[in-house]
Amino acid sequence: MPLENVVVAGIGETEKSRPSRNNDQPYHDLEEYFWMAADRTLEDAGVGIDDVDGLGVARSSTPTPYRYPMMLAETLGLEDLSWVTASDHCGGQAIPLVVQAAQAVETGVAETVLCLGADTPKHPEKGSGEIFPGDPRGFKRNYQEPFGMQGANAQLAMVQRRHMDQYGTTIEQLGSIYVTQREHATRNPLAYFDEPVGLEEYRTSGMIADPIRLFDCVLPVNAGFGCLLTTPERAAELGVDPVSIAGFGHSHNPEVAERPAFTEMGIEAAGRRAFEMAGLEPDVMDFLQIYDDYPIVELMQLEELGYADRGEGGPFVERTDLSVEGELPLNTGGGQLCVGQAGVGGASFVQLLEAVRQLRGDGGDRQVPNAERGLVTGVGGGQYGKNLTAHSVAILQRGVGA
Amino acid sequence: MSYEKPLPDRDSEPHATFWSACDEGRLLIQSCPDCESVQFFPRTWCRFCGSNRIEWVEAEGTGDVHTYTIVRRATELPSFTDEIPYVVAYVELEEGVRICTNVVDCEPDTVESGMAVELTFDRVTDELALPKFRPRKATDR
Ligand SMILES: [Zn+2]
Repeated sequence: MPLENVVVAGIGETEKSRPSRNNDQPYHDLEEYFWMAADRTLEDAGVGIDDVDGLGVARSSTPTPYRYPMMLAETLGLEDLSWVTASDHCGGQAIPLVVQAAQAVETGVAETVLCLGADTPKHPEKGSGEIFPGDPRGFKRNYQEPFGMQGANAQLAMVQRRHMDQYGTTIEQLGSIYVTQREHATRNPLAYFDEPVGLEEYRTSGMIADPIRLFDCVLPVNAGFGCLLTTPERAAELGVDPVSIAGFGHSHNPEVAERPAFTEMGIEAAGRRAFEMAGLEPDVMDFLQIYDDYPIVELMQLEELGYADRGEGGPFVERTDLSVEGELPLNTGGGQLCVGQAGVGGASFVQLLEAVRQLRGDGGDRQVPNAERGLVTGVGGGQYGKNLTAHSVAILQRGVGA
Repeated sequence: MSYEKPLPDRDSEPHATFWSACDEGRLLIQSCPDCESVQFFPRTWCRFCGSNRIEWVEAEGTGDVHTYTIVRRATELPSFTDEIPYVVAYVELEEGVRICTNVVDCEPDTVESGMAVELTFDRVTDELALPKFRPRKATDR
């Protein structure tokens, strides 16, 4: 196994907040979220700030100055770091960031790396900020917005429409994913939503961009997250329950076909790389923490990662119990749809940290019994005229790597 | 009354060429002489082979609805509130590219994937005509 000299030794996650003029939910700025996330992660691992010799920072959609990771090092009181990096992979970020950091520990460049991600898409006076970053090629301004293209909601609505028309996928099938995750969120004190909803409430939750409904849309929240990586020896000294990375794979800009299919994401290659590296098959995963900005995106990932045939994701979720108690537990803490997604800076940390909790046996009343290994994905990069284009997959397992 | 909806950049290339052509009633896409690919949206290079010898070609203006959405809430672009409900679609042109556009001149609920459509320009300001699509009668084929 390529990453046998590194483990996850600590995690940290803040409460979620959606401050607006109409509520009194707390507002913290980006730097405060980074600070809180770092504090909680270090406390969880039982290490002091002086033990940290590497820093990884996920780029937020909340604007930051250039060389921001170095500024953040100063904020946190980190000195003489032997390794610093930033990730910029849109919604999938936590996975590539933590994998890069793991490679730094594996190769001995650093011993203890702190990875942080945070974002503040909600502001009490300014309203909603940017959930997703701007417009790298100018296609949004020049060739989408003049036609009233309403961002990711409309883009994913067109993906879902195509999947429904091509394969007969139904609203009820997609809704069953949401209803299951919403129930999981009731058992997660760090989730924004704490009330369950039924299928009918999902179905009538308000049409945004037909066929995308309100409850299909990811929930923007302000939050911060952290993950600490170190060597198995150091983790043993700290007395923590280690979690290791059995395999990982990426596929960025997977498709340069003339007519890319809307219903294909291209995460298949990332999954294949991860499964090959781990020497494991998809069916041995004890749970899946699948990146969820919309249920349709989860459905397509289940198809590409080997859980259902192409186009068969709908019938698959209909016949498979995806609850914590079921045969294939999915997003056991509620996923980003119900926990909340902190812009792109905190994106996919919900998936990663929930996997670590499950593998340490810290799942509380949502613990998957005897969880040994699980799959985590991160996805981002919406493009013109096709599906998402930045994909990462990691397989985590309990204990140190063998 | 002034036009409040988002305007494209008509001053810098390659957008200026595209939007000037629209102003004259022509829809341009791009073709690469090196690898013979066609692409849309406009760029100054070929996204398939990286060539910078990209050329403009005029599209016939026929195609079909690849996929679409009926916008019911203006979650990001409030200036479109008065248009709701309206159809945003990717239309696949005969030439093989997909273009983000509106399907107009029909009830939103009657739009379907695979529906045959044809180009129509919607002049929204003195300087801006948006390339939109409307249903094409089967006998027109
Ligand atoms: Zn070319």
